[in-house]
Amino acid sequence: MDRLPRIAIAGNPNSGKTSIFNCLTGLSQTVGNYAGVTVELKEGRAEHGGSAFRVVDLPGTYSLAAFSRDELVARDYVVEERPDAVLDVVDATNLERNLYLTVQLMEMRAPLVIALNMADLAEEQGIRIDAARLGRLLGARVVPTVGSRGRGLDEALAACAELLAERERDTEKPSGPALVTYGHMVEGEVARLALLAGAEERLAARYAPRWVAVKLIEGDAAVARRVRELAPDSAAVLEAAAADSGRRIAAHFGADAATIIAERRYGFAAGAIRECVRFPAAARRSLTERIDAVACSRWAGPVILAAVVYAMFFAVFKIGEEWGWLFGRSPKGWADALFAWMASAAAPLAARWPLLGSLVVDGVIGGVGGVVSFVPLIFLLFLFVAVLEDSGYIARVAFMTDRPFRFFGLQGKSALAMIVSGGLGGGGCAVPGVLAARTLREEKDRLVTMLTVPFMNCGAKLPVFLMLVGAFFPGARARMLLLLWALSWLFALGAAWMLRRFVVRGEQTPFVMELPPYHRPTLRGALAHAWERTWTFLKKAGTILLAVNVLLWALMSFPRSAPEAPAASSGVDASSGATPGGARRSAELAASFAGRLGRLLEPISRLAGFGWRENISLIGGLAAKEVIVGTMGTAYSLGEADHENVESLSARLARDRGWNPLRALAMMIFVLVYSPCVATLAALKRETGSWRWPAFATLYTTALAFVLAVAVFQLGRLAGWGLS
Amino acid sequence: MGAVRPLCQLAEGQEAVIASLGGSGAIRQRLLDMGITRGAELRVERRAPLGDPIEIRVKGYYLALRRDEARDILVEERAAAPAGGPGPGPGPCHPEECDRERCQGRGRGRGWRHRFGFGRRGE
Repeated sequence: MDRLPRIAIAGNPNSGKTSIFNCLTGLSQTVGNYAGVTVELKEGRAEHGGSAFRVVDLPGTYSLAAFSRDELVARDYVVEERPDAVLDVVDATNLERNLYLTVQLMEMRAPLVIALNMADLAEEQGIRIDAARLGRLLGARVVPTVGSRGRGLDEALAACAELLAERERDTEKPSGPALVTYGHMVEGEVARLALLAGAEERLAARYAPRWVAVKLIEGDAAVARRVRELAPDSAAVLEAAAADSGRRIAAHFGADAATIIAERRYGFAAGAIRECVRFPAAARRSLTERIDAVACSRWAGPVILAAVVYAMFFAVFKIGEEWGWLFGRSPKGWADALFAWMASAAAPLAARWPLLGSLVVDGVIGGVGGVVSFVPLIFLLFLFVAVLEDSGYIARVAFMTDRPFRFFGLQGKSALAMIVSGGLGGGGCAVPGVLAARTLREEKDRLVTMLTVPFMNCGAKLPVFLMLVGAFFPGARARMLLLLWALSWLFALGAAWMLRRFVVRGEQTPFVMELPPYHRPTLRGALAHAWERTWTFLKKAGTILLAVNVLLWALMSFPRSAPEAPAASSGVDASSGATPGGARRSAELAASFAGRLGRLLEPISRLAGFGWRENISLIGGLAAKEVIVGTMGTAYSLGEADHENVESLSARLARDRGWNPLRALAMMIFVLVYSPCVATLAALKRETGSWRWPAFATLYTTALAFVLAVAVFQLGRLAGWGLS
Repeated sequence: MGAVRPLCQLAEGQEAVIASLGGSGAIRQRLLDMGITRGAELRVERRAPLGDPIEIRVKGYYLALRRDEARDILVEERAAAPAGGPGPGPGPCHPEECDRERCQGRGRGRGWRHRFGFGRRGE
């Protein structure tokens, strides 16, 4: 694959770049991180007329000014990796701003082919574009395409192939795109600087001198750094000359050089449009305008937003879990059944080799299955989010929620991540929440969002709450769950506020966001999107989760104790009414490494009202919060630990003299706040590129959880609650 | 042609021509890249339900930005034109008319948000 000619796809966000990439490459995509940054570059293989190409999807950007991570990655790829062709996807209905990026690619002397995308929509709106003329003006082939339906893509590839062949024939003087000129005065400065840059052999071998000159005059820090590396002797001279040019330009035009250059680029785009595009005489009020007049209005806007979010959750949980519409079961039901069948299939194994059987059944199938069985729900959630994203509604959500979120140092786009993580009070998962934070392009806001989404009431915390509320607050179930939901938002937003103030400091990033026109999302596009994210999640489950579950299993199974090990040595309570087999398991657990750890921590955890059994299950909950109830079931000697025992564990705890409502409340608050599960931590690691933030997330949440639980427990005791 | 004032002071539905762009660094470059250039025509489409951010139409597309950013954009008001046909070409810009002290002093460093340390920028 490495030897194939490379085509890089560049373009504005919302230009339909991704659907073109998906159409070109089909299922041959691979996702790779690029040079240590976490921006992903997707790659795939495309074929045309018997020859194959390697296609790389660059991040969607409006500019190549390199102020954001995405821009830097896209620009570096074009300048450093030198793809054989750059396919610039341009939204034909929004040419002016899209051509601004094209102009910058032209400046970089990139071998350019332009895909005039959404050509059908432009035609519908009465926008007539003379593609051939535009091509002559820009010095590049221009191909009309409809990415969502795959139209014009063969022609686009053919144009790329032609360009490649042309460049191979003419290696001496490759024909590039047309030159963008900045007017007499600026050109003089650019030419002088380009002469200096061109004299530096190593610099000129890598970059077009004219481009370096323009960038230095613009004051581009990244290019200045490269100049210092490649031409250390004359870098100072070059930079001084660039600064002088900048000053002269500013004095001449009464505005700084960056402004003048940006204006000239837009001027070039506007000029090209004047020559090649005819607009309809009277612009109709577009569909987008008509929708937004309602969907973003002061009163209806928030109501519609709430309705959309509620409908999404309703649909996900009804279709995914409750309605048995798929041959008598729900998709989640089938996933659960699959793992139950696997466990029963492994039973003969357990009979012959108890240890191996236990590893397979409890460690692998029970642990990984507990998480993987959520895949149907996660896929559906991703599907709805993809539809919201592709339709353009997500941008409106961010627009409407920005103000309230900003108070806490977050921004509008954080809302979606919070909701996906379970912000509606149960159901949801922080793993897709962390991934959903990707829509935040600003580094600090994104980081704070990712660090606070785990506070939301995810689907896995819910069984713990249901079990404890059922046992100790039977008369106030709804009120207690509402309280926990309110607390989750309070903690998340409060933590965001604190983090922004003390940890992720610095100025709040600006919020300048396009509200793209609404598009009807295609099922194919949404499915591809959802599947890609689900697959990422599955891979994680298959690797990290598997390893952690095996480790946890080992901690809870070793050392193998003799059956007569003391069962009631912790002295809290003598287990009453337990099955004999369950009692043995409980004793084994008490003697295991995990049990010892639990008892080791008991003196501290007593402050919050937790005994060694709770400690074990909370440690187990690090792997996945689903584990908590199961492990408590085991620890309270109920034999098989699975979800069927929620009721009986509930009853068992209600009877237990060591337990009371106060202890339950402290435990629920601890579970609500403490460390994100391993899957979330792995997602955090993936998204931030280091283990530093996942480690921080574990420590700060657990410390906070402990402080809160102790406070609740001790204050409650002082107030005399729950002692009856 | 009307007076020059910060974009954040325009009412919904008002049209204007950009006279100059303040601010610095990444934010300024970002606004330039999004087409906030002198002479560009814009129209305030709406405000978000809580009054901030605002949505404008510029260079044929819709852009949302916060009032903090809108404060740095000076525009020359236009009488609200009847919907339909594009207006005359970009008017002359008068950067010298912009009284930066007055524009920047307005609303900066006062509200509760600033007391809590948010929205501090470019100081």
